[in-house]
Amino acid sequence: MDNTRADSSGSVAHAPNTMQMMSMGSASRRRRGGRWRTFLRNRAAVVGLVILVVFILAAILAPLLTPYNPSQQDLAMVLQPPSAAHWLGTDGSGRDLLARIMFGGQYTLIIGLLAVTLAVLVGVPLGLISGYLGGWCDMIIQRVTDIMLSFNTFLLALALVAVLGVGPTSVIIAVGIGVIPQFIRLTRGVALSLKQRVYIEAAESFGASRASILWRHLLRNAVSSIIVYATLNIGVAILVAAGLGFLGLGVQPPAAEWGTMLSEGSQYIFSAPYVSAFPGLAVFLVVLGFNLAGDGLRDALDPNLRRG
Amino acid sequence: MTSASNTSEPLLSLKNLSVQFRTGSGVVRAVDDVSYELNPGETLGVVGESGSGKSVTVMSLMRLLPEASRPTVTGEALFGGRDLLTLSNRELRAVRGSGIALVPQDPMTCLDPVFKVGKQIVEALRAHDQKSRYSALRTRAIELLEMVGISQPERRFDQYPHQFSGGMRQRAMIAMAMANKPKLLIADEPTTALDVTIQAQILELLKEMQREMSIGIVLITHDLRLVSEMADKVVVMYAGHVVERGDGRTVFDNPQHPYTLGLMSSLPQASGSDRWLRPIPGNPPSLANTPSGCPFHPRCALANDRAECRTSLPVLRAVAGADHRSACHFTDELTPQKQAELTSARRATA
Repeated sequence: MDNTRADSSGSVAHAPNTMQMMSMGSASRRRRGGRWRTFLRNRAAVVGLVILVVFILAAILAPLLTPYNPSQQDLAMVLQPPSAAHWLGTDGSGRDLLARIMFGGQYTLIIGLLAVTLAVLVGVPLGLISGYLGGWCDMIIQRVTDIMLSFNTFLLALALVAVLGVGPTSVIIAVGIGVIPQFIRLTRGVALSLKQRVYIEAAESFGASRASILWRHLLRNAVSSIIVYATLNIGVAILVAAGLGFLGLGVQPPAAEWGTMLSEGSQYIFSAPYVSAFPGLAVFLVVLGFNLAGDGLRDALDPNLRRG
Repeated sequence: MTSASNTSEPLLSLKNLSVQFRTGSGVVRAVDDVSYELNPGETLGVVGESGSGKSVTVMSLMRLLPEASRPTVTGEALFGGRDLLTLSNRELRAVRGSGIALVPQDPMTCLDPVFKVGKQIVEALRAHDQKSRYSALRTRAIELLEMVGISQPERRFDQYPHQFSGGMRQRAMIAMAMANKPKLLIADEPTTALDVTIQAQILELLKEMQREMSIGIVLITHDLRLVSEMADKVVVMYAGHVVERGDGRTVFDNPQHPYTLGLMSSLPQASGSDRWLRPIPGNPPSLANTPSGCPFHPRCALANDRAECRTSLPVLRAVAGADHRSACHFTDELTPQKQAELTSARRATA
């Protein structure tokens, strides 16, 4: 993934190792604490985490936090600019934008999470099998991955929605399939590098079956890379899902979804820019949050720091 | 030794084993026509420099050579009367661990860093025992840790490899190797990565295991002295060939191949000798392009650029001593005087 970073942290790896050797008993606890501290020391990562926590809480607690119903139209209050009553203003049907963004966060976050879960569940086993077994199996999986990668993620998801039909479920499936090839490539690389390790050879020499090596050693060793990559890819998934919503292929109105809201607001872009600006800002912030947190996780979980 | 009863059938018997790799720069003959035998309860030392094919030989019979290197293995490797090279994958997995077990070279990398050491031993047990419950396997794993001399085995069971020292990791590897009571243990330079005091302990442990369970050991090393202490039989390999073979003590006391002699004179002497170390000049040959004739002749102190050495490949021939064989055209010239001359020569005129 990020070679320069991996190299530079590899050279630092010796110092904590010797420390761990010296303090045998509490080493594993200290190591876990060390990761958390590494993450917290990274200011950008903390900002990302705070953004995510705010949005997640806002989405979950939306019914408690806002007095407005996100789909309640109030034609007397159409296109109101931000005010004390409507903090972010109202849209073309007089619905409160803040309430819609908070409720819409439920869709956005769930779509992002489920799409990436789908991609992990399908992509990780395929990638590990491909890298570990090699041969014709690797050949077939990788050529299919090549074909999928040759499409832009968004274009692939778009084509899939065209086949599956519109609606939240097909958005999740389409976006999930769109990011699968990334996970196949990632875990294949991990499997290729791990299968050269002596402990894999040792496990083979004790008669361990291929399946048990795959699911125990390879998967466990790949977990931190997968977590980091999944976090980063939730951002991508949200962006693609919002894009589909904007094109009217995602969650259908009147449900509040950020992409759909952007699209509805775009017709007032000159008269009432805030109607589209705030949902756009929400997408921007959440994707930024996932990217910053994912970067921080990568630094904290970097497998190069844990070897030895 | 308990081997007396069934000397008729060796535990392991390699017959004309050859391993070739096809690479971009041509065919590499890593192992060429190697034959040796090991009886139950015996220790066989395989000695040679890096790249002499000693590890490749055993990896090929465990069928653990990386597939990406596209190895071609020919010949026979009989283990308990069955040819390992023709077993199906399923049969092979049954042999691995419970028939033959491997102690790898580098204890620092042979344990998976993300699993507790105990869990990895349980995994080795589980590979050949699907029925027992976890608690039973855990008890056996703790017994194994205790057997290989790890103190506080219950506590150590739940620790990660990074909490083990190098010597303890090697002990844990031996515990894993012994988990399924193999008949043959292959130790690939088991002490190279350890410091000297730990080396002695590990070797003592291996001997103890052997005494208790009468397993056969193939000890791969470049350390001739270690072999002379441990091994009943010795095979000296050079450039994929067996150049000398025989009884451990005999080969060490009366080496009949100039390469063995060279290995010995490059050993430091323990007892206040003022002798300088004599390295063998030159490097081992590239296996993609081995010298014609005897592969050792360019570095040989005995060859003197004689035509025979340059053109014809010597075969293993019987020399004085019980079952002692050497692949040199001019073993006859290796009289005790000549041996002394070649080994104890003081500082070569630099």
